[in-house]
Order: sequence, then C-alpha cells, then structure tokens
Amino acid sequence: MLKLIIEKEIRDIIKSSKFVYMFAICAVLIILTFYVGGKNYLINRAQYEAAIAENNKTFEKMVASGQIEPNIILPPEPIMSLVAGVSNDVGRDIQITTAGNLTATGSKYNEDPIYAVFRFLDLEFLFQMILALFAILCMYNAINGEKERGTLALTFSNSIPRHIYILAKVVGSFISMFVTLLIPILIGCLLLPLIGVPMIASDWLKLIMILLTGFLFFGLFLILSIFMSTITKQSSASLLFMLVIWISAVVVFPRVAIIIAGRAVNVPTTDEINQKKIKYTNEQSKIMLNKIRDVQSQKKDDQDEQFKIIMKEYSNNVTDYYLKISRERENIQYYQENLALNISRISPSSCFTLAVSNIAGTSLELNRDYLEQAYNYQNILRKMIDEKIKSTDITKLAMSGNTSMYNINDIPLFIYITPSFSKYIPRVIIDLSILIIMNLIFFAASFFTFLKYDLR
Amino acid sequence: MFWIFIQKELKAIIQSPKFILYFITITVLILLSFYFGIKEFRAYERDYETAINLMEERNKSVDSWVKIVYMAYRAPNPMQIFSSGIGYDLGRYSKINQYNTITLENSLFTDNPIFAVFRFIDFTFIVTVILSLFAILFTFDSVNGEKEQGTMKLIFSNPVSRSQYIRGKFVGTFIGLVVPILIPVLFGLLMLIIFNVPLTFSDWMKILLILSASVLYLAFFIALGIFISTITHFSSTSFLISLVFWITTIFILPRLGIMTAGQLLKVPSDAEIESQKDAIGIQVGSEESDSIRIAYKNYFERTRDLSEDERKNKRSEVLKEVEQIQQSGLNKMNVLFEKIIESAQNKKNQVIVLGLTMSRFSPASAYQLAAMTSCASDVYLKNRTEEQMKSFKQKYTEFIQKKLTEKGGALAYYQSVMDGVTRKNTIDLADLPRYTSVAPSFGEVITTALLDITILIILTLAIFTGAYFSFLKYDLR
Repeated sequence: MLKLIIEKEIRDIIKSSKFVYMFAICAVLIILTFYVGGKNYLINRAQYEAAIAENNKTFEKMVASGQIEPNIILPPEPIMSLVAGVSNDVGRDIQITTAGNLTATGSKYNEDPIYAVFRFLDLEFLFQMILALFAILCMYNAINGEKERGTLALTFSNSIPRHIYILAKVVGSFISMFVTLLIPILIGCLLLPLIGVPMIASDWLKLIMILLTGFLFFGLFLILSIFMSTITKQSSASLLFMLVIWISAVVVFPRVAIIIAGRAVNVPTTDEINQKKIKYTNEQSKIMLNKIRDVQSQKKDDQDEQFKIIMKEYSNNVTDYYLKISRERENIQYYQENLALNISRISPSSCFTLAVSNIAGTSLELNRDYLEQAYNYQNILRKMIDEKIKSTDITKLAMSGNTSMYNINDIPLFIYITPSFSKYIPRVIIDLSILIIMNLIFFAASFFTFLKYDLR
Repeated sequence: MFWIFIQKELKAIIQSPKFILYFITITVLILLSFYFGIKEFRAYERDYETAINLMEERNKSVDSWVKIVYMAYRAPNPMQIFSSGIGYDLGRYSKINQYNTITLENSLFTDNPIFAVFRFIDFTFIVTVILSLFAILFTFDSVNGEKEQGTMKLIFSNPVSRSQYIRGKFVGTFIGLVVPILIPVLFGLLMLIIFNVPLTFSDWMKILLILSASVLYLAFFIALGIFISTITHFSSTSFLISLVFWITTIFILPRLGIMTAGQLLKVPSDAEIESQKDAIGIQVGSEESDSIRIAYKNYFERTRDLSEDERKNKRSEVLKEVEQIQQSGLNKMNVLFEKIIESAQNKKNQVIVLGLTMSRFSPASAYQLAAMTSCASDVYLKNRTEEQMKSFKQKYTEFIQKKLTEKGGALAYYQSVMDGVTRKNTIDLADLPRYTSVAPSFGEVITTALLDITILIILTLAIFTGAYFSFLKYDLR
C-alpha cells in the first residue's frame, strides 16, 4: 500500500503543470548557476595569474634595489565561485611588510562595485530564493488541496491507514523532487570540467556536501509546506502562510539577528586601531631618536652595534604593540560574530548559509585564515632578512657597488594553503544537525497533525 | 460605472484574508527597514565622528607639517536607509598625501564581515522582492479567477463597458495595494524626524522620487498580473506564469546583464594595477636616488675645503636641490600612475555601461537603479567620491607644500631632528583644508534617474495597454 501511494504521489507531482513550469525554470537556473560560476572562476583565475606575473616582475626589481616587501594575493578557487559567501567582501591583496600589521585590501566589491549592485548568482542564492519557493509551490496544497478537489475523501473511502498515507506523501514528494532536480545538477557538475574549471577530488567532495546540505534545506521547505497544508483548511491560506514563513526565514530573521547582535557588541573600527598605532609609532620614534642621539654623542667604538640594538628594540616594541591591539580587536570581533551567528541560527536559512559557506571556505574564517598565513610568511621573511643581515658584510657590499644583499632565488614564495575541511567540520556539524532536527520535527508535526485531520 | 468598479475591487481586496497578512507583513518589514536603517546610519555617524576626532587630535600633537596624516572620510549618508546600494561595499576613506593615489579602503563589510553574511534589508529590497510578490498574488486571478467563479458572466449580463471594467480593475487594485503601504511609510518618515536624521530639502525631494518610483514599480506588477490573467484561461496557469516572470525579472535578468558584461570585457584587477604602479615607483625611485647621490657628491666636493660650520650653512642649498629632485620624481610618478588608473577606469566604465544597459531589460533593475541614484549609493558613487577626493588632494597638497616651503622644506625638518633641535608645537591647524563630501543635488539625481523612471513608465504603460486590448477580446463565457 505504501509503495502504491508513493507511486501515486510521484505521478501526481510530475504530471502537474506547475511542477513542469517550476522545474523548467529551476533547471535553467541551476545550469546557469554552474555555468556562470565556472566562467567567473576562469575570469578570476586569469586576473589572478596576470596579477601574479606583474607582481613577480616588480618583486625582482624590488629585491634588486634591496627591498623585501612582496604583495600576495588570495588565489580564487572553483568552489568559491559556486558559493560566494563573504569572499567578495574580504580583501584579497596584502603587502607583506617585514614588521608591523598586515591588512588585506582590495575586495572584489570595492574594486568592481558593479558586481555589488546585484551580486552574484550562486548555489546559496539558488537554494534559498528559488528552490525553497519551488518546494513551497509544489507542496503547499499537498493535503488541503486534495481535500478541496475531493480526492482525499475518495482515497480514504478505501481502507488506507492515515500514517501510511502521510508517510507516502512525504516520501513521494522527496523522491520526485530530488530525483528530478538531480538531472540539472548533474548537468551543471558535468559542465564545470567541460568549460575548463579544474576540479580536484576535495573540490568534488565539497560540492557534494554543499548539494546535500542544499537538499536538506530544500527538504525542510517541502516538509514545512506539507505540515502547513495539514493545519490550514484552504490551500490559498497555506500558500500565503508559507510565503510569509519563507520571507521571514530567508529575508528577515537572519538579517535582524545579525544586526541586533552585531551592534550589541562594540568592535573598535580599524580607523581607531590605525590611529592608535600611528600615535604609538610616533612616540616610539621619538624615544628611538633620542637614544640614537645619546649614543652618537658618546662616540663609543661599538656605536653600530648600539644602533642595531636600539632599532631592534623599536621594531620589537612597535610589532608587539600592533599585534596586541590587533589581537584585542580580533577577539572582540570573534565574540561579536559568534553571538550574531548563534542568534541567527534560529532561522534554517542562516544554518544553511553558514554550513555551505564553511564547506566552501567562504565563511568569516576566510579572512582569518588568509591573514594567519600572511603573518606566518612575514615571520619567515623576517627570519631570512635577520640571517642575511648577520651574515653580510655591509661595507664589503657597498664597496662592491651592489645595492642589494638579496638574491631572488633565496627568497621563499608565498603559497596559500586551503585550510583542510576537517577544520570546519565542528561548525558544519552544528548547522547540519539543526537542519536535520528541523526536518524531523516538522515531519513529526505533519505526521501527528494528519492523524487528527478532518477529511470531510 | 467606473467608480463602482473601483469600489468593487477595493472591497474585494480589503475583505480578502490575504489582505490582513499582506498589511501586517509589509508594515512590519517597512518599519523594521526604517528602524535598522536609522540605527546603521547612527552607527556609521558615530564611527565617522570618532575617526575624524582621533585624526584631528593626533594632528594637533605634531610639531611639523611633514608629520600631518590626513584621511578623507566619506560622510554618512542618511539616504542609504532607503537604498544601501554599494554604500557598504565601498571603502570609507582614502589617505591624502602627495605620495598616494586616491584609493578607497575599508568598507563596512570588509571591516565587519559579519554584516556581509546576510547584508542589510532596506526599503528598496522590500519593494523589489516582497511587494512585487504580493502584487502578483493579488492580481494573478483578477480576470480569469472571476471567470472561474462565475462572477464575470454576472457582471457582463448588465450593460457594462469592458474598457471601464478593466480600467476600474487596475485602478481599484492599485489603490487597494498602494494606499496601505503609505501608512507604514508615513510612520517610517516620522521615525526619521523623531530620531533627528539630518535630511535637507533636497533629500526630502529625493525621498519623494524614490516613493514615486516604488509606486510605478508596483503599478507595473499589478498591470502584469492583470495582463497575464487576461491571456490565460485558468488562474493556476496565470499564477505559474506570473511567478516565472517574477523570478526572471527580479533575480535572473539583472544579474545576467552584469555577468555577461563582465565576461565580454576584460578588465585588469586592482592587484595588477598596484603591481604596475610599484614597478614605476621602483624605476622612478632608482633614477631619483642616482640624482640625489650626485647632488650630495657635488655638495661634498664643493664644501671639501670649508669648515664644519661653513659646510652646515651651505647645507640648505643641497637640501633644496634634493627636495626639487624628489618633487620632480613624485610628479613624474603621479602622471604615470594617473595614466594607468585612467586606462583601467575607462575599461571598468565600459563594463558598467554595458552591464547596466543589458540589465535594464528588467523593470526590477530599472527601479533599483533609480532608487540607488536617488540615494547616491549607485555604482558611480566610487567614481564621484574619488573625483571629489582628487580635487581635495590637489588643494591639500598645495597647502602643505606652501607651509613646508615657509619652514624650509621637509628635509630641513628631518635634518634638524637629527641635529637634536627641540621644537615646540607651532602648527596651527585652523587653516588646514578639510574634506567634505558633497552629495549630488536633486537636479543631478533626477537627470540621472530619468532614464530608469522613463523605462518604468513605458513598461507599465505597455503592459497595461496589453492587458486592456487583451481584455477587449477576452472570451467571457
């Protein structure tokens, strides 16, 4: 009996004109999303490689003139084009100074504000705005629609247990929707390597996880629509209520939660931090200059050594202070983000966004990871410079007419390492669990509500 | 008869259960958008004032014009309450000195990426997505729904003009949907006054323009819903077609236009541009160093036979010569930088023009562009801000140069520091030019927004005309 009703459900859904229309548009959008995402990646990659080539030429000249301040750029990744997250809002370029604070500048939207006008079409947007609506439109009248048409009374004029019926309805809707959506998704996935997007095993794994999360989110709206149709008498009412729920869950709650919690914690702006740094640097410069003057006036034999110690002290003090206040700001900001995101998790849309952006590596951690790697690189360069200074006879170098003690081949290159997915598993598990629990709760709610449903 | 139809439509809308949900939803959303918009404006204002005060305080404590650090900040824009546009994506300040080109840094979203996760909800977004969806929901069955219910035959069993009927339907629906929006909007405008949001007369005119564009945009979707219901037999079909159109117009066409433009035209990234500038900087720096070395070498040769004191007296001449070399190098660098930036900017402008033109096929795009233009948060905000900062930079650097020349130049200051000369604070910042951002006037805004508003008018008229003529031939049976 269960199998029979599932088959009936699948047939009813697939044969309905609304399903055909909505599926057509969703299929076009899904394939378009993959195509546009892939193309965007290729453009970003081309821009990145052109910038790296320019950087390398400039760096050679820099090294020849005795400077070691390379520019590093965050490389684009295929998955970042499919789930944009905050990747277009964070800075991609960092100039590595040998001491002091590093700042990522040049976000995509700041650089090319045209893309900030309407933003990108990505999988996150697709699942939240389009596929969730698709789920609502297909299932808002799953129960009360049948009652209005009279087919529900007809069905139950046979000896069909209610629990079998509701279970079959849920399973049938899931199978018909998921299997049909798989077709354009698979086409989209095939399109990526065809247009030249290099996807490695970990990228495919991430994509599969993103799609599974997307299906969980889609499934939630399917089951919520079925639930709504069991608690309302008219299908027009269930449609309206579902649209209001969709607006609230996708548009309102996440934003309101972020704004309230985000502003509840006062994070000092980077301007305030920069001004403090400038003030401290000036104070330390005055102290350093006074010490240099004292040493000069004493005219001792070890003057050069004394100068080195004074400058090293200045450099260490400034670096330590910069790190200290930067870390303080980061900690406050981390607290602000956690508070805002935890409150926003009341909305399934928020859980979905957080889960997919963590999987894709385009969450708020992106900026932190990038800066952490940049600071590590800065340390490596500083050590290399210190060793070079110790081992180089400056007088001999000046006499030889060379302007630089560095050789480009000895300088380590910056290679960005994509953080492993295991780092984000704890966060993703929380959001996935919330989505699964919500699915189960609304399934249980539809189940028990339908057991008491008035079929007449 | 026309008025009777309008009244009939109004009653049908107000008495439907959909209307209460519609009214509650839009009231909550609009008031929330105003409330959070005001809060964000106040937060931005606080950050702006803090930044300016810190900068002024810091500059008051310096003892030479050489050490002034000036940053030009974009002033908070209260109109972003209505349409945030690219306002929060764009950098909020740029360093101003003769060495740096104008580069806007640190947008709100870069500084606080938590707000970039979901972005802000503003009035324009509510109208574009939510209100248009409700307009579709109220009008998709306006004609074929009546036919299905049998009320259409009843109406036309009386001597009723089709023209009056369809016009009455449109006007009645328009009044029924637009007037309820005015209530929360008026409360929202009252909130602006209560919370002392600084709005000039020009700003109020711009608000009126946005509200007019919003009304036009809703009129389009009302006309669209009516049109689709006149060309389909079943309300379920018209609902689907309306929804497909809604999704295409709001989500697909605007993005597609921009992305296609981005794919067709190749633009260098800022990283590439910065790298090219660095290369020029190194080249010019190297030439400059050689010239400075020669200047000092000549100085030492000229003053070889002089005493220490006599040599010190001659020092100011070589310092002036070195400053001239540096200034000439800087000018050369700035000219070359400007060429690179201008070339890249021209390419970016081509992408903008092509992208916006292609996206304007969608009324949602035309509406959002009109709203952003009115709120000065449109895509040209970056260009406008950079131009204003450039002209300020010229004025500022001339002022600083003049002050430095009066005191003997920058190098003279550094030399005196090395000589251990203690200076008292002699800087009077009263005359220092300050940057103020100027928002476009109402006249400028309306000139720019005219194209988008015209598109909205034409589309609305075209769709309504389609609905009108389609209904004149409609099979009422």
